[in-house]
Parts: sequence; structure tokens; C-alpha cells
Amino acid sequence: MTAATLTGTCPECETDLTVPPMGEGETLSCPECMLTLRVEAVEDGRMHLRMVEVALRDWGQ
Amino acid sequence: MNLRVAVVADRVSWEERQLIAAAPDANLELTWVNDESLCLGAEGAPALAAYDAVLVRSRSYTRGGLIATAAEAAGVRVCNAAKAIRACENKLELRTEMHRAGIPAADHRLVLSRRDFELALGQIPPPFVLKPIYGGMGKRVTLVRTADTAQSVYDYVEDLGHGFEQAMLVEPFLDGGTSIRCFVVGREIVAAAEFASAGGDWRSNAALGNQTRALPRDPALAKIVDDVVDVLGPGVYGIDLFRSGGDLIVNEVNHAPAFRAVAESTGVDVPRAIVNHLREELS
Ligand SMILES: Nc1ncnc2c1ncn2[C@@H]1O[C@H](COP(=O)(O)OP(=O)(O)OP(=O)(O)O)[C@@H](O)[C@H]1O
Ligand SMILES: [Zn+2]
Repeated sequence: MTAATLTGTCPECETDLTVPPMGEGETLSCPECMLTLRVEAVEDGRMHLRMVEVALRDWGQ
Repeated sequence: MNLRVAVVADRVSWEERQLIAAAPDANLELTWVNDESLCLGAEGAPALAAYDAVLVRSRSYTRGGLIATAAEAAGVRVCNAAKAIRACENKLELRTEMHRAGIPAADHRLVLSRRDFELALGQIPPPFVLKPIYGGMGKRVTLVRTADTAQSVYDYVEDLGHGFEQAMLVEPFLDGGTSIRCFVVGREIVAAAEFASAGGDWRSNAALGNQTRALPRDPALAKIVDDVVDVLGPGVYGIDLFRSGGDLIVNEVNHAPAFRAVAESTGVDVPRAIVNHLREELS
């Protein structure tokens, strides 16, 4: 079963977030503090989020 | 039974999401594995023990080759091969490999100091391009049009670059306005597109958000790409070339290439091609 939305809390500014379904490793930007957050795990419709850099300094492409 | 493949990257971006979604059709299960938490080196690579193979999608040009090297050493099957990733991460290494195989690549000088830079200017006069050996997304790639600005541009390398960032190449400026991106899976070109600079910048790479158009089949392009794959081995590559005076020249090869722009401009189902390739490699 995939929930229609997922919830989580921004680890930096503690804003409560509700988002469409996302998988582990995907990122979103916190609408309040604008930081980039990565979904570390999803459990019972709740996301565990962690702040990451928008882009790493050594990204190539 | 679906084979399990770890998609090793620091995050799941658009490309990885497409790959994960396409995998079941090829009887694969792709799972994101954080490239920051593998702690490789131990026998059998415990962090990867649950997987049949690894797809390295670390966009970082320091992590990819190291992870592939350590995973291969632990007996894990890795795509792309460590040797190929290491060649792609280092612009000098790649040019050397191309040269050894007789594949046209830009003339260049290795610049590690101001003295090197001055000598390089004598041999490759302006306009020339100064670019980092380890670098990506077109960052710090500098077109120097006149000798007047050369020394002050180098001041920034000297004053603000640390260690590895001071390792540079000087290359002739190959003026054409377009560069070609070939997306290769296995040995085949699955999509080819030509990029033109969007106008505000002389650089025309995909990462800088430039205009794209799909390219028709071209035997000369197929030949040079085939030669590059002979050197690197089959895999998933973004091969960037220039057309200069009618000749094709290899500029660089990306080992974890983005494919959104090339897929959207050509309509090719790139994720499907990649998962099918993985499936073939594994069976
Ligand atoms: N010798 C050159 N002559 C003309 N243009 C060049 C030359 N070298 C680089 N460029 C331009 O600058 C862009 C970026 O250079 P290059 O691909 O070497 O850097 P990069 O950081 O590896 O970029 P990316 O990883 O996005 O391809 C190229 O796509 C091309 O448009
Ligand atoms: Zn926040």
C-alpha cells in the first residue's frame, strides 16, 4: 500500500511537511527554510528527512 | 526472480527515479543505496551483500571510481567498470587513453604551475581554453581570447585553487559553437544530440541548460564512438565530442551521465535501454 501523501518534519526549522509519495533518496526543498532535504527512510507514511547540499562541489556530468 | 541491483548515488534524481521505475520490466529490482555509507574495504563488501550488482550513479567525480574500485575488489559486479570510471573522471587520463588508441582528442598541455602555464601559452596561443582536470558541469572552464587576460585569469587558479583544483589543462579553442552528446549503452549509440550554446555563454554543455537537437545517424560518429567503447569497455556513457573543421574530436566521457535533455529531445526510452543492458550483463 502506498499512502496518498507522506508527512515529515524539517530537521532544520521543524516545519511539518506533507508531500506526494516519494522514495528513499529523493530530495525536496523545505518551503519554509529552503534547505534541500533527502528522504532517508519512509515508515508508516512518515518520512525521516536529512539536510543535504543542493549540489556537491565535486559533481561532474 | 528479479535480480537486485544497488543504485549507488548520493541521492535519487530524475534519472535514478526513471531507472528504478523501468527496472521491473527487465526483471530487475533497483534500490537506491547511499554512496556515503558503504564503508567499503571489508571482505565481501557487507553493505552490498544483498545485491547481485552495483550501478554506480554517483555524480561525484571523486566517489565513483573509488567506490567501483573497492566494490570490484570485493567481487561485486559493477557497472560501469572501475577502470572506465577512473578514465572518465580525469581529463588527462582520458586524453592519454584516447591518444594511445589513435582516437582524435584535443591537443593539450598539463598545467600545474604558472611556469607550465607560460610555456603552454607559447605552444597553444590564444584563443585557448583553460579547464580543470577534475571537474564537471562546465565549471571553471575558461575561454581566454587574448594574451592580456591570461596571467590574471591564472592568478585565480593560483590564489583560490587548492591542491587538486590547481591541476589544469590548456587546450586550443575549437570554435564551432556546437558540441555533440552521444548517449551510449553497451556498445550502441541510443541517442545523439547536438548542443548549441544558449547565447549568453560560449560553453554549450548540457549541464548549462543549452539548446538541443536530435542528430541523424552518422557513420563517422558511429566509428569514433565504437573506438571509444573499445578502449573503455561496454557500459553506459555520455560521450561529448566537437566537430572541428569536419573532424570529430572526443572532448570528454561522462560515466554517470544525465539523460533528461537527450531523452526529451530524441524521444528515446533511455532508462529502458539501460535496464535491459544491465539485465544482459547479469545473465
Ligand atoms: N577546447 C574547447 N574548445 C571549444 N569549446 C570547449 C573546449 N573545451 C570545452 N569547451 C566548451 O565548454 C563546455 C564545458 O567543457 P567540458 O565538457 O570540458 O567541461 P566539463 O566540466 O567536463 O563539462 P560537462 O561535464 O558538463 O560536459 C563544453 O561542452 C564546450 O561547449
Ligand atoms: Zn525547513
